[in-house]
Amino acid sequence: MKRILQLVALVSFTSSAATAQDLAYKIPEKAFSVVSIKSNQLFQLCPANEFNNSTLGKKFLEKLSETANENYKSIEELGLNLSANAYYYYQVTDSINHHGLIIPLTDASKINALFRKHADSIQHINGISVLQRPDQKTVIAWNNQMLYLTYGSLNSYFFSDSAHAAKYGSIGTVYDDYSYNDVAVDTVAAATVEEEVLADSVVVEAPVVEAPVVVEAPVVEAPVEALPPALPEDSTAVVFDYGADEGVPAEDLQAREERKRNRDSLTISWLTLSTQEIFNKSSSAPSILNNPGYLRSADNNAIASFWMADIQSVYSTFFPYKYFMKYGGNFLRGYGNVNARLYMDKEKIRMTGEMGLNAEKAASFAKIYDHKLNKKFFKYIKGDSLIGFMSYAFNTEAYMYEMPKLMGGAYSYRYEEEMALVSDLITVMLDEKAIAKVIKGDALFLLTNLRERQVTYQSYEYNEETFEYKDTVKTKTETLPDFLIMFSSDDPQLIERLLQYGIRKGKIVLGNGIYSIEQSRKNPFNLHLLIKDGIVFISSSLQDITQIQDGSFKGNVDKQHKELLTQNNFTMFFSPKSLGAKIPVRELGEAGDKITKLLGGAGNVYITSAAGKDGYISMDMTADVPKEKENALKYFLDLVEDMAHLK
Amino acid sequence: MFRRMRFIAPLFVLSVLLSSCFEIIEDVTVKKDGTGTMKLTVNFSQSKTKIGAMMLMDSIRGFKVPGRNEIEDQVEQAAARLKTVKGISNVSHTIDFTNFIASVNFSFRNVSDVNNMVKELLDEYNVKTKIPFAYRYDREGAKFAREYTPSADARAEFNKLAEKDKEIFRSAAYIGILRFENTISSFSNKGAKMSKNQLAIMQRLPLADLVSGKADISNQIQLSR
Repeated sequence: MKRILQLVALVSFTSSAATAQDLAYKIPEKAFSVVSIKSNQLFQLCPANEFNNSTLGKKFLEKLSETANENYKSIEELGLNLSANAYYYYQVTDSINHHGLIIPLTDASKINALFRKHADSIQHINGISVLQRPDQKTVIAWNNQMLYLTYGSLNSYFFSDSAHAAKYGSIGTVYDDYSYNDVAVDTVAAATVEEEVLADSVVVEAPVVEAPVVVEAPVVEAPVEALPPALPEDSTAVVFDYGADEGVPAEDLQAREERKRNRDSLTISWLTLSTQEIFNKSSSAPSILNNPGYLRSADNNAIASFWMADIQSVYSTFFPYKYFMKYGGNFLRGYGNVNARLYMDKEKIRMTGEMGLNAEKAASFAKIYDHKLNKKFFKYIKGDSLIGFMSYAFNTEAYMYEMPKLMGGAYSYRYEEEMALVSDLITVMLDEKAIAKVIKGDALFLLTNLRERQVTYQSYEYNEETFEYKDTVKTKTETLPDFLIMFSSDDPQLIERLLQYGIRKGKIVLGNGIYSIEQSRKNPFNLHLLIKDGIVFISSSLQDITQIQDGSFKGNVDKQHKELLTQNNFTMFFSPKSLGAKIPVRELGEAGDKITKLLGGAGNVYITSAAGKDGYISMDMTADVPKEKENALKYFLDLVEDMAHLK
Repeated sequence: MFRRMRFIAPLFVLSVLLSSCFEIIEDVTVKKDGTGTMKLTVNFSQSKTKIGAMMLMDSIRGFKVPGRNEIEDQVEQAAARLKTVKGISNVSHTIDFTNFIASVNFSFRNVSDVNNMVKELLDEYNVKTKIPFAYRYDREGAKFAREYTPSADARAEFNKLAEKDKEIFRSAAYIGILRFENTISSFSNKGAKMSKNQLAIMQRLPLADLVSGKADISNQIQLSR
């Protein structure tokens, strides 16, 4: 895992030249996920010399120097092409899953120097230098054009298939780490699969394309098809001796060690084969560039992009197919591929993401997303002092209709009839129109202020005579947020009845048309509720609610905020600067000044989501770059630096 | 009410950002014959807004936040385990989820039973540290001693904590009270204070000082015969 993260970290600092041939064609057509990094853009925003002197850069060079036993002072000394695209991909096949990292080079001799201490282990095959690291299940290879790193792990369930076991030898003994017992093999293998999957899942990307156990599925690319019946004779990898393990008791550590070596050598052997394929692959061969979903994700203006095949296949690879289908793995049926892009420029850091939907899901989501935020809400936004807000607008009626269908689809593999029945029952039982009148489906939550308030707490009073103590209530000043929540209701009668019930039970007080719930031991806020003009208002500030009631509330919504709220079904906004200005420094402890400074120097953050086009739903995150910062990347590096100083 | 309004949770994050404090009270009564009672109380009431907010979330800074049921189960289990320890009886406990105060009471046959109990619990939870404190009672000589040895492991763990987390321990208080049937003739710890009736001793200090070994709560107490 650590190694994968290191690989990903390394890819973040490298890339391809406009003049050099882009290496995307090297990525297998059936890759499950791909990350592309446009180093030229990265280093335009932050030139190499500035990166070298940043906290992040120094740490990176320090680690690298330590590993290579060299003294690197600059990222340029590594021989990497800092103006070309670098790629990371993940591929899942039925037999082995592997991560690959493709980094274009300008000077291969510097890579030779980087791996100097492993010189004796480096093989030279057709102009390619290959360093196998069986213990680490890693192969590192390079030529004058590129550096390729790959890390892989075998799929246990592939070897539990008797046909494969026969083809590759007694895999139960070679493959399985923990048991010689044939009966136990399946369970142990399954456990191993889960472990591997867990490890993978941490690294953003995910497993592949089709049900892994269905070997005949025309999914799996080269590595599996190209697998040799046994290892090539000239391979430096350990030669298998399956027979030697037979009948050896499970406790025999030596045999266990032998099996581990064999497993590692099989992994290395297959990784080496796939490495050679990558190097031999020509630009006219089928590649990821044939995938429309991947091409959609690629954008020349993005500094980095991520693409992943459809989510259902992520799940299907977490478990062997039969388990996956048996235990309701259809949950994500209909959700397509996922992509994300990162943009950095002078004014903004922006990340956009999309998820594809099939026609049925797209139609359902289109109906649910067909709702706009109540424009009357805008009157109650004080844009100049706002700390943050969150809004959502979904069509309650459509949601109530569509939800059973969406859920039904999830469980239809095993419970199709039952789910259809449940779906109809819900429709009969609930009056969607009536519910949609009570709660229309739009709401706005505003974080308006931070205010010091007196709160009570329980402590003890000690008798000086005996040191006996009794409970006592003390008060202290605490800074608590003020907020205002609004949601639309065409028929608030039900809400009013609920409030009346609260009054009868003595929990709610009604005064001048405002319902109030007093601060209690369980609730640190005084809450005030008002129903007016088809809007239900809830706030911690009586002043705000009173002003809303008598019409004296003066809102001043920002034009940009208004646009965001109007155009999206979900919006979140946060102003660190506004928070920093309102939070009392003494409340933040020793690092208070630093935190306030950090918040004060940070730009606004926005997250939005809207029904996308072409059967995609989208999500967008933007962070404004403060005016005094040169560009987004430098702002980001400065933030990292400031955060490091907080520790 | 707030439990159902999960979308309000981000609002509480603000209050969690701010520092929090709590107190631990150890109240021990030792009779002439060496039997006694002990009451341990943890009071988070001063931080109840923050704790309440924390409990609305699944995890904070990578730490899983236990739910009310989970906390109740754990305390029940610990109390049930206490009942099985030799020499420990009358075990009872209370948890107040409004003020976030929990306490455990029990009786012991001899102070050495308390020492054994701590050892058993540490073993059970696989805490490989030297027991930092032990009680001794010499009935004949009417001498009571609390021996406290700062644990190097605990100190090392404390030093590893982020400054922000250390701050939580600095603002937390430890209060230790020892009560006797006989009057106290003398006591060795200068940081402790005797009650006016001379039957009890109290020591109050920041929990951080205890964990880091900066403060000492050892005390040799001579009782009148």
